[in-house]
Formats: sequence, structure tokens, C-alpha cells
Amino acid sequence: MADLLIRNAIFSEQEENADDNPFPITGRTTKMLSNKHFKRLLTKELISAKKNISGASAINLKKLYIQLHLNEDALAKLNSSEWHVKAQAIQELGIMEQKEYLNKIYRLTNNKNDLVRMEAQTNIVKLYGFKGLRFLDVISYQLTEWQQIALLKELSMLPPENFNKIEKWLKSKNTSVIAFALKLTRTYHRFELYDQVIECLSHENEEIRFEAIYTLEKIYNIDTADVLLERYEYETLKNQKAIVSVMQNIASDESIPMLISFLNQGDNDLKRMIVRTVAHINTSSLLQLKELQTAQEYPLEQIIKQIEGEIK
Amino acid sequence: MSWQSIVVDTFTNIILVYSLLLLSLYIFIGLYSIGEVRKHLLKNSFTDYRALASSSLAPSISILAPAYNEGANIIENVRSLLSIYYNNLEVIIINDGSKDDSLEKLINAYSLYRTDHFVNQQIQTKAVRGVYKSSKKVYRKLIVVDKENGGKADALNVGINISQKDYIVCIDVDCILEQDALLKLAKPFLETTSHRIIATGGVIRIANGCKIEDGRLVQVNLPHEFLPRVQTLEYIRAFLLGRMAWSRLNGLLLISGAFGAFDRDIVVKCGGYNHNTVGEDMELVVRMRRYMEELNLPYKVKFIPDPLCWTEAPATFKILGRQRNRWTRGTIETLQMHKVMFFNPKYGLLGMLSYPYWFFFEFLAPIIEFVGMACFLILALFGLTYWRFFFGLLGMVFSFGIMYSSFAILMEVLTYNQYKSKKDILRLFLTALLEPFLFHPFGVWSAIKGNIDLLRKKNSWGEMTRQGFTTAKNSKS
Repeated sequence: MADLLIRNAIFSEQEENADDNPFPITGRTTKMLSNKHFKRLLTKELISAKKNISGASAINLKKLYIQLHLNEDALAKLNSSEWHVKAQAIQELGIMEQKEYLNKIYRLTNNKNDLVRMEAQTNIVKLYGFKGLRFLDVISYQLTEWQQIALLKELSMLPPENFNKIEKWLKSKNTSVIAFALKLTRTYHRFELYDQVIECLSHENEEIRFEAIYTLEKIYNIDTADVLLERYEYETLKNQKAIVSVMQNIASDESIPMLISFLNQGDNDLKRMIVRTVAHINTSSLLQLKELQTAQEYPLEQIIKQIEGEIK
Repeated sequence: MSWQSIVVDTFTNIILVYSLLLLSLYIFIGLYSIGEVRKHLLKNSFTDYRALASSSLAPSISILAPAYNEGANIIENVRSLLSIYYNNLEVIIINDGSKDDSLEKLINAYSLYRTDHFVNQQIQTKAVRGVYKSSKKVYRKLIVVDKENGGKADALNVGINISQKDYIVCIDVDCILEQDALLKLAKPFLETTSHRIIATGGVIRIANGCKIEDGRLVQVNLPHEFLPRVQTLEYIRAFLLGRMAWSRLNGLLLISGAFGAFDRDIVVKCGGYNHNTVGEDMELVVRMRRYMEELNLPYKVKFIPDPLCWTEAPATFKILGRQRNRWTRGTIETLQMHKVMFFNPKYGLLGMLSYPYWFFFEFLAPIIEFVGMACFLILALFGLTYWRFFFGLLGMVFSFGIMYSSFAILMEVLTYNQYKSKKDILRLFLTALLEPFLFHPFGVWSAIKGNIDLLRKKNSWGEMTRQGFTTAKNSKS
């Protein structure tokens, strides 16, 4: 019966502004709806169908969802004390595009349960696009890397928008918000935030400096390579590797001598990265490397051979 | 009261307390695992792994697969690994001085050429003879390393030296991985901000009897032979109950060598795999944990209950005996190497619970059982056995074992339900009934042999002959 209801809704040719009860519901169906198992099954199938359908059919499914008062059930589930029921309700309202519940979902974006707040944050973005990111103003919990990936994926499905507030998030007290703001800056190539990103290079948190380095790779200008090279000696090994990696794409011949001077320190992985970067900027600089005193010694000799093989 | 009766009474009481403690721990583990499995399943129902698959932010992973004389199936095994669904990946096959034609086969099948690859000797290993890459773009993820024979730990260390990614996944080359195995294994590394996840493991299942096509598992079947079937039950019990409970406690000491992911940075800082033990997988996890504890760094070792890796289980008592013998020696060697942690509060839960548990209930259990059986036989011989009490106790112990296995089967059916037919579940249940009589004594005997071999300083790996999945496939068809 659930299948039939959904099929009828999908293939129904309703006018867009049809009344509140656009689909005929039989007495038997109404009776069945009092059965919670049937209701659960119907909701599950409706959600599954809605996920895979767009256009007029999707609108019909949304109408059917409201006509059967399933949104009210979801609302009741939002108040459940069980985290997974709450999270399920948020997901359901998000998929069914129930924008009128914005405030209720928004309140859950800083819930103490990690899954509830993740679902709330993701679905707020699903419903309101970039504007939904306003929860970043207030969240006190850290955004995990997983959640940041999920949010970026959700945003990637929306048309790019010149949204503001990133500048504010770059100064957030929540370090994960800053890290996410940096990822937004590089994903959407927000060149106007260049100065704020440079400021992040001096942040006390290593991860933020790491993200800032990779963000500069996407919004760099003529001075960026020098800024990063100046920063190099004060950085941790991990961030030094990030700087060297980024230099591959933003540096010019002028940076090569300084990069070569970095070969005197750091571990062998870093040395290999430096040689790779130098060769990437200008292949003929490998000759310069071969003239170094240490070029015939371990590990530089083997590293140079490997990089020569790579660029052939 | 004579001194003899005092000795006997004391001994009996110690055994009684030990047994009650062991049974209580099993009950605790069984019940405690429920919450963790349930939480994982509920969380999983909200997870869209495609987000990670398509993201440039996915952590970079190197699969390390040591191979020794695997020529018969190496081409298919590597093809299977190359087909894994993960973006930021390199697959490193380490040919550990095979005496067969494994390397030649790989060179021909994957158009490999020798490169001047710099091997960063962060961990000391046997010499690397050559590093090969493919001239075909489609195999760009593949790196084959040829090295002098040095054993599995040494081969994995070479892989760690070659790897340039953030995480390493160590597997047996003949394992079949689920397509989304790496996505699922990588997720825990990204899910926490307060602790560093240093290692993750997933459930290993028995592939005997399953249908494998082109290196992929296409149909799950319960093994037809008794030995692989009883191991299937054993693995369900160990992974779904034991490891999940220990993971929840953050006290897990073992990520199976057949399939586990590790934070490469921590592995290198700890010095990689130890080739002085045959239990290198357990030893590495214990050493990594010890390293984090000593530096007072917050960390976790996570385990996920999804069946991610399928492996062929030994089908003969001879091969199985070697495997269990080796596991016993590995456990004892690891416990010896890290004895400083024994009831040492400096190591927190690791020293006060995980280590003592392994010492008393993994290392000592078979010894106590064996000694108990010997004492029983002597007492029976002298007519000193109170038979009614004996049979009552025996019945209770067997019933407990069968109930525990039945609980594990129930958990399997309620969660992943890999063996869908009722007939298979019934066969699994019948196996649980037979296990205490036909399999458990063998396990105890193999462990005793392991102890003896260790005392005799025998440290061989023990040859593991495999039938190969093709046989399993043919036997089915």
C-alpha cells in the first residue's frame, strides 16, 4: 500500500498550487496510518524515493508527506530523548525540505550529542544553503574533519554564492571554525580574504597554520611565495612540508636558492619534497642541485635520482 | 586438617575464583559490546561514505601487502587490491625474497619497470633489491618492492619506509577487501578532535566456501568443512563481542595483522614492526599505546564491527595447530616485552586492565585448563573424584560456552546477518554445540605446544599452506 501511495504521488499531474489535500486517501489508508509500523515503513519509503527524485515528482512527494501529517511525527521525534531518533527526525525534515522548522533544527546545531549536531548542521545547509552556515557564529563544540567534509559536500551541490561572514569565522574562538573557514576560502577562491589568511599563518594552533598554508596555494599573489619562505624556519616539520608542497604550484625561479638552502635541515622525506619542488619549478635546477657538496652523498644522491626518474 | 588437604583446598579455591572471574568477564564483554555495536550501526545509518570518497580532504593511505611465494594467486590478489574504492591511495606490494616467480609475474602482468626510488631508511630493514612502478597509467597506484627475505615484520617495515602517505593499512596479500573497506576504516581517524586515533581495525571474516570472482567476494556462504566453520564462529565471537567491548573501553591490544590501519607517523616514531616476535601485529599496537601513554598524549585505538576483510582459514588441524602455536608465542613474547606495564598505574587502563586481562585470561587460561585436566585425571585415577559434582560443573561450563556462542550468533543475525539462510544459522548453532568437544581441546593443546616451543626457543613462523580461493570457488560450483 505504501508503494501504491508513493507511485500515485510520483505520477500524479497536480497543479503546483493545488489545495492542501492533493491526493485521494482511502479510508483503508487512513486506518492503516494509525498503525505505527505502517507509518514508519511509509516514511522510510517516501524518504528513499525523495532522495532519488527531483522536479515535479519530488514536489508531489513533499505534498504527500505533509498531507499525511508525517511532518508532525518528525516534529515529535525532534523532542525525543534518544539521540538517534532526534537525528533521524532532522534528516527526515531536511530531505523533505521542511523549511518551516528552521528554528527547531537550528537550536540543535550545538547539541551535546555529536551525531545530532552533525545532522542539524548538515540539514540546515541542505535547506538554507550558504545562509545556513550561520551556526558557525555560535557553535561551541569542535567540528570534526568528517563533519567538515560532509558540509563541504553539501555545499558543493549548491550553486556558488558570494556569501559573507567567512572573515568573521576566520577570527572565531573555535579553532575548528577557523579551519573550516579556511577550507571555504580555498574551495571558493575568496581572494579578497588574502590578508586575513596571512594573519592565520601566525595563529598559535598548528592545524590552523597548516590550513592557512594550503589556502594560500589557491589564492596566492606575487608575494605569497616569499611570505611562506620567511615563515618556514619558525614552522613545525609538518607545516614545513606543507610549505614545500605548496611552493610547487606558486613559486618561481627566485625561490629556488632559498629552497635549496633548506636541504641542510629536516628529515629525509622533507628533503625529497624539497628536491621534487625545486625540479617542478624548473627542471634545469636539478643541475644546480647536483653541484652541491652533499649531492654525491646519502640521501641526496638517491633522492635526486628518484626525482630525475619522476620528471622524465 | 592435613597439609595435603590444605594444598588441595587452596588450589581448588584458586581455580574456582579464577573460573568465576573468567565467566564474569565473558558476560561483561558480551553485554558491554552490545552498546558499542548498536551505536556504530545507528551512526552508520546516517553516514554517507561517498562524501569521503569524492573529497580531496580524504586522508592519504598506503596499503602494505607483504608477499612470500604467493606466485599462484599474486596477479589476482593485486588486481583485487587495485580495485578498492578509494581516491588518495597507493598499493605497495613487498616481495619478501620469494623463491617462486611472483616478481616476474607481477612485472609482466602490470608492465613494471625498475625505478631509482629513494628508500628512506627510517626503520632498519633487510636490503631492498629494487622498486618497481608500472608504465601504464591505470596502475599508477601500484608500487612493487623486491627485497631480501626477512619475514613479515621486516617486509612491512620496508613498506613503511617506502610509503609516502599519512596512514598505512597492513594486510595479508591474499585477503579480499570489501570495496568500501578503506572508506570505513579511514572514517574513525577523522571523527575526533580531542584524541588522536592511532590505529583502527575492522572485522575479518572467513572466506572458505564463499564465491570469489575476479578477486571480489560475490556470495557469502558458510564454510562446508568443520574446521573453517568453527573458526567462523570463533571469529564472530572474538570480533563482534570481544574487540568491540575492548574498543569501547579503549583497551584494545590487538589489531589483526591480516587487516588494520595505523597512523604512519606514530608507527615510525615507535620504530615500526618488531621482527623479534612472531606476534608482530599485537606487539606494534601495544608499543604504540605504550608510547602514547608514556608521552601522556590523548589517544584511542578504534575497532569497527563491519565485515571488511575476508580471509581463508586453515582447513586442516596441522596448519591450524601451527597458526595457534604462533599466536600463543606471539602473545607471550609481547607480554614479556612490555612487562613493565603489568599492574602499573602509570599506564592507566592499559596497565591495570588490558595487560592483566591478556596475562591471566589469554596467556594463562590454556595452561590452567591443561593443568586442571591433568589434576583431574590423576584424582580420577585414585578414585578421589566426586563425580556428581564433576558432571554438574562440567555441564555448567559447557552450557555457558554454548550460550556465549549462541549469543554471538544472535548478535550476528541481528546486526550484519551475513549468513542469510536459516540452514546456515542452524549449522552455525550445531557447530557451537560441537565446538567444546571437537575444537576447544585442540586449541588448548596448540597453546600448550606454543608455550613449550617458546621455552625451547623455537621461533619459526610456521608454514601456512593455503588452498586458495579458486579451490573454494570450484568446490562450490
